[in-house]
Amino acid sequence: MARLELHGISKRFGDQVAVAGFDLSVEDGELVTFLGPSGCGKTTTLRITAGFETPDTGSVVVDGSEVTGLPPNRRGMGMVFQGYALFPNMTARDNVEFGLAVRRRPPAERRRRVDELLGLFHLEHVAGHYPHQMSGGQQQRVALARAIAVEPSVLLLDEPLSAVDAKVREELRTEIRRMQGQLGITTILVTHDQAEALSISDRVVVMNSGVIEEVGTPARIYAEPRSAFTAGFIGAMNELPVRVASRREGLVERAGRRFAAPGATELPDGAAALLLVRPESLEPIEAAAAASEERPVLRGRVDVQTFLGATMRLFLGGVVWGAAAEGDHEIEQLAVDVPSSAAGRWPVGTELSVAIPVGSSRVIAARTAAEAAAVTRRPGSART
Amino acid sequence: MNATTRSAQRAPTRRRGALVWLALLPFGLAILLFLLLPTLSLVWGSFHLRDGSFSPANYTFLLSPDQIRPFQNSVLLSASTMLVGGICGLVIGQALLSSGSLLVRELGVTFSSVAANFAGVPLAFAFIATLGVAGLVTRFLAGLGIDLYGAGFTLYSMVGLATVYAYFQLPLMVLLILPALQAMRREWREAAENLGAGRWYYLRRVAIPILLPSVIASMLLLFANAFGAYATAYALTTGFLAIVPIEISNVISGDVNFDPGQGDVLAIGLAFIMAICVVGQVWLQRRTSRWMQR
Repeated sequence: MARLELHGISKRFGDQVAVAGFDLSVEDGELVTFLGPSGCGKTTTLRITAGFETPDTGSVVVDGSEVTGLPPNRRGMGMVFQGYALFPNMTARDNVEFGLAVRRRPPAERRRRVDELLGLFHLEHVAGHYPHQMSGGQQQRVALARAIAVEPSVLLLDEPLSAVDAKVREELRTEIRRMQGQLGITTILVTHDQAEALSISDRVVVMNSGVIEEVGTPARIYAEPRSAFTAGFIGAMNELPVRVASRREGLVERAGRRFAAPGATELPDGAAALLLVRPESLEPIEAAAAASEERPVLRGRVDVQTFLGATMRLFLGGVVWGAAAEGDHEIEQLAVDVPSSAAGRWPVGTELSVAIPVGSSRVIAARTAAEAAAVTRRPGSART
Repeated sequence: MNATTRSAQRAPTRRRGALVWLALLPFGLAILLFLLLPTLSLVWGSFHLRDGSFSPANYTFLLSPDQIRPFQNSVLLSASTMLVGGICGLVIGQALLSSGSLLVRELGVTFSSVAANFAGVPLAFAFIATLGVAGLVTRFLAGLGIDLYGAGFTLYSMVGLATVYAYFQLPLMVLLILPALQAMRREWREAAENLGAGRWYYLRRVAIPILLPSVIASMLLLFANAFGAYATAYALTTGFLAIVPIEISNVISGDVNFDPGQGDVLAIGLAFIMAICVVGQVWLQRRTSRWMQR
């Protein structure tokens, strides 16, 4: 168990910037996820932490001691690789025992520890199997058991669930969280899967193009993304172009209507902005009630229905602000989640009005000049 | 499903089956004509004496001291070139991969492909022209004060023949072992390092055990390759060196020693040793390929 600090980590491969100015402190026993698309630098940062890459600048500190110059075998960290990386010439038991054998622990202690881990990961029945005789899920469990057998100060997981199927992934996700909580081991998990990151992390580090976009708890990152990238990358999000009407009063304006939106006080008056609303936050209302609705309202035609289990996602086209068409401020697409049991009320082709409940949206600055221009010219969109 | 539908479905399956057998026919014919029939003919011939009478006496001839020697020489020659070619080929193969340059790797593979197939009479003459008594390299070294032949070396000996064989054994090993070396995953080394292992520990517990079956399998092929080689040895020594393929040639083509039955027995002995090599190679290769599954 340890506190891990990464200070000003930067790394280039040729002309390519892999990581730039990465600063992070991971508390003792915390599970932090690096989340981002391919090539965002998350795996490079993990490999620098493990000692497989040398940073161009910056340092890696464990419990106050700098380990940047130490080789991987002297850092005392455990790592689980994307493709398991089990030694194919060894059984599950031998794989788990490997690190203990390297440390020359007495045979009786090794046997006891390996038995304990095989039990913890429900692997007793495959102890004598070789990797090629095990399923993907079993191999990944062995890889986890092998990594924690040596009681590492920090556990590093490089996309550990990407090679297993959906059902096993969910099981293993829960198992990793249970094991991590039980052992209280400081853990970094790298993933591009937002569901994985949100479901098991204490904190999520959202990365993009080698830099940290933002760091926060899963609930905060989901509910209040502070950058357009995070908003687009995590969960489904409707991005509606608006303009800040009054910074002092926290109001934005669209299609002649002004309404309060969290975040508007942080932007200058007149600034082009994006109003972010989750599909599940939008509230369907009766068309007749739309005209008298106090809250901002959007109206459109149901184009597509997607079944998501408990909810049905409706994709609305030809969306306009207000109860009736107002000007040319049409929005390309709007995603609305409704209970699957109620979805029958809005078959494809029907009109649907939705209200944006107070406090369920957030305003951020529009991303680029081109998007700022689009606020006055054109549509918004739903990122799903 | 009724009977008419079932038989209608079975008809195309039967046709496909017949087509598969038809496609295998040329292969089957080749096996029959160039493997089974010659083997049967060898076995049949080995039980017949020069006068045509049936007898197992040829097999006692195989165990005579005179006939053990060619086998001893062949085993020595094959084993030494297998070891030299195998170890050097392994090191060179790893060096090609470690260079990290695709160009270097491609050049290495291309050269190896050419050199591994450059054997027989042209190779023998190439060596005579370079390392023969008046060869270019021999004379160049003599100019530097190094007298190869004075020091006891001669191209027309077992050592000389082994040197020539190494020329095709080494690149053959590079070609055979490269896929196994390429299949070694970087993550295995990293995982071992991460678990506290040093380089030597990783090599001893992970890399060598994984590679060993492939290395042995490849070396068995080198052994078989050298054991069966004839043209290079004959062109270089004009048949005076007692190795099995030359001995076979002596008893089936000479006037004095002519005895096809003895030739058949020698050939059976040679085929037996080669079969052991090939079976061993296939078994080891299978074991490795199972390991490499993910």
